[in-house]
Amino acid sequence: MSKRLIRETAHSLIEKYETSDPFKLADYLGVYVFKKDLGKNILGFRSLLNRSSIILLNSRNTEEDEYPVFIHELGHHCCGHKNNADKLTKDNMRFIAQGDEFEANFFMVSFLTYGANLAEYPTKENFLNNHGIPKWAERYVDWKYLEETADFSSYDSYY
Amino acid sequence: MTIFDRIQELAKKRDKSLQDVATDLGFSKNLFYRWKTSEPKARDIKLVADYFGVTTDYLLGRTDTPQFTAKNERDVQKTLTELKEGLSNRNTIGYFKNDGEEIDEEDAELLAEALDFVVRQSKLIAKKKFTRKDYRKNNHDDLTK
Repeated sequence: MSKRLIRETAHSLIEKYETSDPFKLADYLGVYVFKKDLGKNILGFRSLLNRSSIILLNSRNTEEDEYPVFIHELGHHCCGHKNNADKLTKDNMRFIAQGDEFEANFFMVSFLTYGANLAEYPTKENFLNNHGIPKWAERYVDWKYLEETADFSSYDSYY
Repeated sequence: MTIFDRIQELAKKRDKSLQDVATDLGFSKNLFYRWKTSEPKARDIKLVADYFGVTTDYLLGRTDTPQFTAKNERDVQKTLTELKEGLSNRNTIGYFKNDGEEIDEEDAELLAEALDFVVRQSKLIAKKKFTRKDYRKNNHDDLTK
């Protein structure tokens, strides 16, 4: 899938179901979510067996970890990936230029930056913090698109 | 696990003694204890299975999931071996082939457990989702409860 298509998928889902809570969204999409102890390294994985999509999260995750991980796994579902056990591990959290992991990570970033206006933040770092984008996912942010859609006439704009 | 152990476990879950279950079903009080040494009748096994809402294969110890038949268990085992050994392209998992990633024993065990859970759970969901409404028996579709 192209970047544009992934972004549109993420945004249209939020608009369609009128929620930016990924757990609610999973409910609407018919994705089953379970928690289980997966050891030290794996944060979560998604499987597609018997035509049913299941996301398994590690019960050791902290709350702030869990949110991006869950959206990442949901990204696998929404991008229609067919392979099993798509997983996010701690060593895996870096920039990957193409493939399923890239698509899922890009979905995650697009989901988190829904409706964002770049002009309202003084620095890029501030922007990332405010939208809860983890540090390792910084390179996935589509700055070019955000600069294009930035609304300088908004009330909170810095410029 | 023998049929006696299974029935004992199921009765315990419902806070009932074996004698209570036997009288509910119209058996003699100590019938279950006799099954330790002698073979039960097929008719009686069916009654017990219907009483607890499980399959007869579960009572006979052929599967560890109450809702599964022996055929379901075979399917599950097949998918699991495929997942672990990466036989078919569809069900490959990178971990067990150890491609560049090291994983310690404890984690491998937990992961294997999780895979087992996922395969069983997805089978259960599929059973509910893709069975005709008039063929559905019970509506439990969550293994964690």
